[in-house]
Amino acid sequence: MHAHPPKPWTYRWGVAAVCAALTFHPQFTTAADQAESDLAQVVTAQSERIESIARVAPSAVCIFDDTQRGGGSGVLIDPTGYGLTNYHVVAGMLETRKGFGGLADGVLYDLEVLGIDITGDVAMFRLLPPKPDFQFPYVSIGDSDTVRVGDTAIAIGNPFSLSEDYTPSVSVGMVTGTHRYQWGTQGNLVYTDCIQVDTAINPGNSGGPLFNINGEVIGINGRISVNTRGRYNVGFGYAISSNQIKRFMPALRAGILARHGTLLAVTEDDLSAGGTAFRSGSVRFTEVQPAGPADRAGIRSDDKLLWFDGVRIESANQVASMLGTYPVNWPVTLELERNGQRRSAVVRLEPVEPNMRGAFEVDRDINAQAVRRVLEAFQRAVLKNVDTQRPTRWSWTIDRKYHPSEDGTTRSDERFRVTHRDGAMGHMQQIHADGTKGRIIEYDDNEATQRIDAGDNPFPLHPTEGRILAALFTVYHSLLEPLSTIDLSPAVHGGGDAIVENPQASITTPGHETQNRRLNPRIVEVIHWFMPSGAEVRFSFDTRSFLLVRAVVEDKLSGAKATIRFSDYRDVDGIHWPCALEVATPTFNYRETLTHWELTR
Amino acid sequence: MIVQLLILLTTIAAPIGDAAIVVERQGFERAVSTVMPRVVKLYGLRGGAEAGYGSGIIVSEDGLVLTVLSLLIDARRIRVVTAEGLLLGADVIHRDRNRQLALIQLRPIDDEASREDRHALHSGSQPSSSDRLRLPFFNIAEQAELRPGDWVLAVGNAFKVAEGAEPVSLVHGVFSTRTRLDARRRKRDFRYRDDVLVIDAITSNPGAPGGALVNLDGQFLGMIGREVISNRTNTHFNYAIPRDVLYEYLLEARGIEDRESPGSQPTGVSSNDENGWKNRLSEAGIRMSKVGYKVVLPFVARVRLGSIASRAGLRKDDLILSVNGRNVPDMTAFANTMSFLAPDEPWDLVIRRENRIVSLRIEHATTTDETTPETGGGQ
Repeated sequence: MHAHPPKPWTYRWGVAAVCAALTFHPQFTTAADQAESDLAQVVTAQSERIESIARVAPSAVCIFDDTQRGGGSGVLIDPTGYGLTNYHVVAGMLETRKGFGGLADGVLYDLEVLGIDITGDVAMFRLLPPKPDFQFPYVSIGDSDTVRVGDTAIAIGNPFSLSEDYTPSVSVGMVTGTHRYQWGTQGNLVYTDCIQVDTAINPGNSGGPLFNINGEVIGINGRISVNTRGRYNVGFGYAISSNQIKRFMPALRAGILARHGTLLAVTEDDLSAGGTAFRSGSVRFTEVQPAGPADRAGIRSDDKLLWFDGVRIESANQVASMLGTYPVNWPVTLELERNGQRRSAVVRLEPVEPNMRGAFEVDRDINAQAVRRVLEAFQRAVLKNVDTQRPTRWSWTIDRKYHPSEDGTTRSDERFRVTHRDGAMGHMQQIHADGTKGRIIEYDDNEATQRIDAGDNPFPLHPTEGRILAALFTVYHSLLEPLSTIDLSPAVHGGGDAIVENPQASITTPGHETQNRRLNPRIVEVIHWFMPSGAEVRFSFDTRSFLLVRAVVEDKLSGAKATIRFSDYRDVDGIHWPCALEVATPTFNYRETLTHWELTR
Repeated sequence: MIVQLLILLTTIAAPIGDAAIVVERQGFERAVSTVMPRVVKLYGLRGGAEAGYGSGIIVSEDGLVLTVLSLLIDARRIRVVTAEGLLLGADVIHRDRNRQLALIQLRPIDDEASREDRHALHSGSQPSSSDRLRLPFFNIAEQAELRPGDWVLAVGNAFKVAEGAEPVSLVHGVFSTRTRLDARRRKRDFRYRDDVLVIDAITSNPGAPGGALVNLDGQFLGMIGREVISNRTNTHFNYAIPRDVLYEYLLEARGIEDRESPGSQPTGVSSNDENGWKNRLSEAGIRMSKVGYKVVLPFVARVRLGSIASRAGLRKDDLILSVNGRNVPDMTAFANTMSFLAPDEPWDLVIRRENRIVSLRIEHATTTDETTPETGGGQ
């Protein structure tokens, strides 16, 4: 069974409008007519709700470990069997990485535990398809920031392990709080910025989905408040918000340990110092760890924190709550005040190490599967079909325009004719403005040489330039070849990263207010590629489009680093290709635009 | 109301599409936005099973707050946080043990030390306008229609989920019925014997008592009562104290407040009320046995000749089994039960006399009876 996208809104608006008209203008109808028509609306709406629940319920998973004693819930988020649950549901399966997931079809599937987020109590799993091309039912993930108190909240799962045939239970309630913070234990299982519901959530519901009325997943249920009378629902359930989970998804898919970010600084409410309100300006830094991210951004003890990532700060609780939703290395904006002077800063968060007994072993096969998944998606995004669309010979003209580097040096602009053929080295022929030919560069993923003339002896290219070309060679000759033929052993999925689209916009200037500026970085999946030369390339793929957006090339020995940004994706000659590259290194910066194309298939 | 109910049912169920969400929200939005600013978070004394935090409802612009009677308000410094995030102090103005209610007055905390001075100032002259609180409040004099099946929201800081300016929690459900409360807290009987509004939303949670019960228009219906166990069902009972009971209490408490000088000891039921039942017992002509080892059974040791008890048929050596429907297996239970009865409440006793079970009622002498000299003589 396949989950269908929501029906078009126009249809529903019709229903809603009719309903509103009837209810708000009762004078046009008699009371009896009114009651009858209202009842009809109720019945219609109810049957639509039933249909909606029937549509999403098959994606709910009843999760059991090896012993099949007790268990939790989960939800499938794509047709290949990837699903989300709580970390505490799979915690007992980490040794074998194996468990079982039962679906409403009555079948108990094998389950594999992928990445875990101990701090945020989230884990990803995969149900193993019984046969290739098997399609699991799944649901889409919604935007939890649009959730409001009073919205309908539907929880689906397997409370009290009631279900014998894996048909999940459904409970309906409403959202009763947003942006809640619930403390964890020893730094683990912290529920930050979570959604509070009065929907009945009980033991066994853990890891199951919380849906909005549209049938979109807005959270993962994992926690309830209980009082002394027992561990069951008393109207206070908490779901990890879907938007937080989205940020950790790359690491979860990669089967690695997802790490949260921290400022390495403590904020407190200003109340002990005679303050009389929780309001903007009442939260101060009271401790800043030396050399931590806050310290490096110039934050000092006693600085007031006014805004955090575009949100006005009114309590320390709120800071803790927001902070918990970001992965390590995530960039956030801070608006500060010291002695009446306002200042903004952009900080990259440092990792929070979860509290765990042993190390979390990354399963090589699971990680390789994640690499394969990203590359497959990349190939589909670029080529549509790798077997028929992939060129065997690429030829194009590029204009390379240099910008001044950090030390102020620049080079004169160049034009090259570039050729890539299967089984041959990459070839670049410089063309001068008058049409005469200049230097020739030849390269593969291991070495790069250049000659002034065709007959000359080649000499090595600048090492950084060579590594950049090696990375590009890898893109054309490895990333875009049929996956069955590629050796993926040099590749490791490293989880996610956050890329700020316009870094210039985030440069801080004293006195300038960030106010509600939120960086909204692009979330990417990072594939580490270990080159024969010993250099490492980190390819970043957009998690939505799966297009390659960045490659960072680093020589582990010298530490030399270069960044290649891929942009201006266009449909050219049957492929979707970046027509601009920006290269930044400490010694030279340039932008290349592709002008003329010739692809042979 | 029925129209609203239908809107809610329709829209809650209307699936799918942003339009559905927009329409759906209209159901609760008004109630939520009305009720939130009028409920405050209370922090005070903690001890035993008492949480040390709770809720209250603002009933006047200058910061009178109604809440439930609890250990919380016995704190030397009560702290109150409004929905706006304002941190305030509070003084207890009145406690009512029978209704288990309390009235407190919010005030700024900026100079706690000179509070007494300011009180003196207030009583002597008009408070400065900058000192006056201006808070949104529930007008609890205003009546709202309520019928079984109506949607209700119960709003309070249960489990202390909300902090600072964060909005407090709510649970939704329907109003079931209005009935008399017959309940206990842990082993002790719960004094409140008045009407309550029974709801199907779970409110029997720490921190929730003192919160507001409103309808979908945000109209005030009642206040979430303390966590109790129903004597009828032995389950945690979800209820609210009705608006009219609160209003009556507020008038009474304010009346008393007006007669008291500011800063005086909180008035309430005097401490000897704890032993009031003993006096009434002796007035009725009953003396209980004190004999027993480990357990003292509620045996009647003596009945004064010609007394009310004697006229009702009570005799020496009767073993009292129950009082007003509550079993009294020992003297402690008997004392407990008796202490929670209203002064003029008749006693329906079930007693064991040798091998028989006898039930009898003892009506108390009314005030006029008391002034009439008894002529004595049994019937």
